[in-house]
Amino acid sequence: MGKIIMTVDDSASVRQMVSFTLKQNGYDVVEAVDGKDGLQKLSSSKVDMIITDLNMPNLDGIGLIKGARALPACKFIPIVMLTTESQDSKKAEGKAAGATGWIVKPFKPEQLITVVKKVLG
Amino acid sequence: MIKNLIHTKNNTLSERTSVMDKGIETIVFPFASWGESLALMTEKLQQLSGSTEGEFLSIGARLQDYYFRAGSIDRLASDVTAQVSGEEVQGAIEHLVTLLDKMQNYLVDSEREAGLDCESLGNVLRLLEQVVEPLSGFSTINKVLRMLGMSTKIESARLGNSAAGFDTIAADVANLSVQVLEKSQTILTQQSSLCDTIRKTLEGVEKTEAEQIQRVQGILDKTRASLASLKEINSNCSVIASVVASASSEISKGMSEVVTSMQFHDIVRQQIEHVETALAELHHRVTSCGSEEMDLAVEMTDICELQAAQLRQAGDEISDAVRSIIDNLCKVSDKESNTASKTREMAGVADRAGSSFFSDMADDLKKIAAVFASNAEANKSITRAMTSVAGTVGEIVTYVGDIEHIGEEIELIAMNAQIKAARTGAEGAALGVLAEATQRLSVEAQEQTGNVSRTLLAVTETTESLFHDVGEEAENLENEIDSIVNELDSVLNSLRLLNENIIEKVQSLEGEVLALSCDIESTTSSISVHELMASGLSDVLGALNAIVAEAAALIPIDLAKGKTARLQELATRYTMHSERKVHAGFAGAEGFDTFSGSGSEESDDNVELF
Repeated sequence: MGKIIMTVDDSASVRQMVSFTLKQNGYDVVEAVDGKDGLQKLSSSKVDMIITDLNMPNLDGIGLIKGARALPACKFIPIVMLTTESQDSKKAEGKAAGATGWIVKPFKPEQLITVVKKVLG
Repeated sequence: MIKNLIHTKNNTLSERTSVMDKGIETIVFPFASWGESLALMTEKLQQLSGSTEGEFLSIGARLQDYYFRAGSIDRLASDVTAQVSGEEVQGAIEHLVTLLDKMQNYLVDSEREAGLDCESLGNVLRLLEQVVEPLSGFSTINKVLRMLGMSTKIESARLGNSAAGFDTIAADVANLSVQVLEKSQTILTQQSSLCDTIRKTLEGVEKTEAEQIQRVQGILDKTRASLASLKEINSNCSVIASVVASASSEISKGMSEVVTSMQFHDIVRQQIEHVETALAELHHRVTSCGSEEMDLAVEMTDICELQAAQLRQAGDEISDAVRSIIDNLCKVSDKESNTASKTREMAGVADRAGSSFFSDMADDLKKIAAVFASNAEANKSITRAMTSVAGTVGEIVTYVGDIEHIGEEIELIAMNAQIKAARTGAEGAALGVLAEATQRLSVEAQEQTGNVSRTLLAVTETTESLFHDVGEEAENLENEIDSIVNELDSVLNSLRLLNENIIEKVQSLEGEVLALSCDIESTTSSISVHELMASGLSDVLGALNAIVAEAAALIPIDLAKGKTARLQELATRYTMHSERKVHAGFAGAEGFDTFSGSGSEESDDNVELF
């Protein structure tokens, strides 16, 4: 069974592309439409990694990271931000919240897979 | 549409006229009409940002389908390549070549054996012909014996009672000489018949062997050529299948670029939303201000100009992205079409190597088997001929024995006559001479029979040897040929099954490639999201430009300076590097926290692990 990765993004087309890229490389994918939806799904299902957008309605990526890190099962899993945001100050905020890495959109599939393989070990 | 968004251009001009009447100090700006334009633009942008996701999702769903189908084609092509150039096919071909070599060797051996058989038959024929001369001698002996018998009779009659018994001796000799003549003639008749049989057998064997060898050699040459052709076909198939696999790999790369381009929908949506927010705020401010606020008019112009630049950037990005999606999908389609062409080529090649190739080979195999069966029959005919020769020679030997026995009897009669002649005294001297001559002839007859017997013995030895060789050869031949034919049949069957399997896969590959190519063409021709977006953005840009132009006509040039400071607050809201770049290009770069990474397509600057 492949590792499970949660993709959190309010854009359905981005979720679709992330999911497509991960699945074709043998990963199982759980989708969430925003931070709040992501946290709800994390409480009921175990995931090996989270790839999340930053700006989302209801709960943004930073809030999701903070909430996830509070969950014992997610305390040490890799969480990578995938966002259009490229400011260093935002990256620092994400890092402080517990993000493992930062990818600025648009991503190239092979790039995303390299990062996933690296952080999942 | 532009007319709707440029809400009140005529009103603006009338307002402006009244403003000019009042002088520069009392410029009145048409904030109300601008506000209405801004509200319409905001609404339009909201519609635009929310209207494209459905089409992108649809493209994305089809993209996944295409990707998996391209992967399936890749695997099928690789499978065909592996099978065509695989050990099983190559092994079967090599096995077939080995069997053909065996048959070729058999053919050479068969040719040599046939030559030896014919040579043996020729020897038998020559030996039988040698019998004619000594047998012809019996005729002369017979004539002389008859003359001697008659002379004995005459002399016996002349002497009267003193030569009593010689008359009987003469009659016996005459009788025996007739028997010698009859038996020698019978032998000659049988010899002649036997020679005819052997000549016909020899002629038949020589003709059959020559025809068979020529025929089998022709079939073997043809089969070798067919195998060489199959090897070449298989080699071509491997090359073509490799090309197909390589094309599929490039298709996967093209798909990867499409995935990257697809994300620009979300990026551009956010850019449009940012513009929408900026214009909505501006709308709020202009609708709640007084008509003479110069500062607001100046700032509004800056904001409208800047948002127009952002929209142009967004429009360029979505346009480039969609074009990239279409181009890459078209490339995929082209590559798949090329793949289809190559696949068709491969299918065509494989078809030529299909059933006809193997059925031809199977037919040839049957012909070879028939020829070998005929060869075995020829060997049997030699055996039959040799049996016949042996039988007839046996009869001849009996007759020769009879002649020899008669010769011995004549010799005894002659000796008896010599004794009687001696008893008769001087009167029987002539009879003594006759008896002596008769004895010499009997000895000569025995010598002739000895010659015939020796020749016949040589004939018997040769026929027995040939009979043994041919019989053994026929048995070995049948066993060897049965083994080769069975092996050939088995290998041909394996090759046929393998080839049928390859053809089936190639046809399946062709079907998949054509279907995928067709679907991709259908998708690319139906993509219209970029045109809708370009049209909508063009309307908003027209309205923004109109406001900027109207305001520029009212605002003194020196007041337009200092936009960097005026747009400072707006600069802090950007999330994207491209937005900041547009802002910097419009307002100047000072004071901006620009993104350190270049975000160039070829680098990984957009990735950072903490």
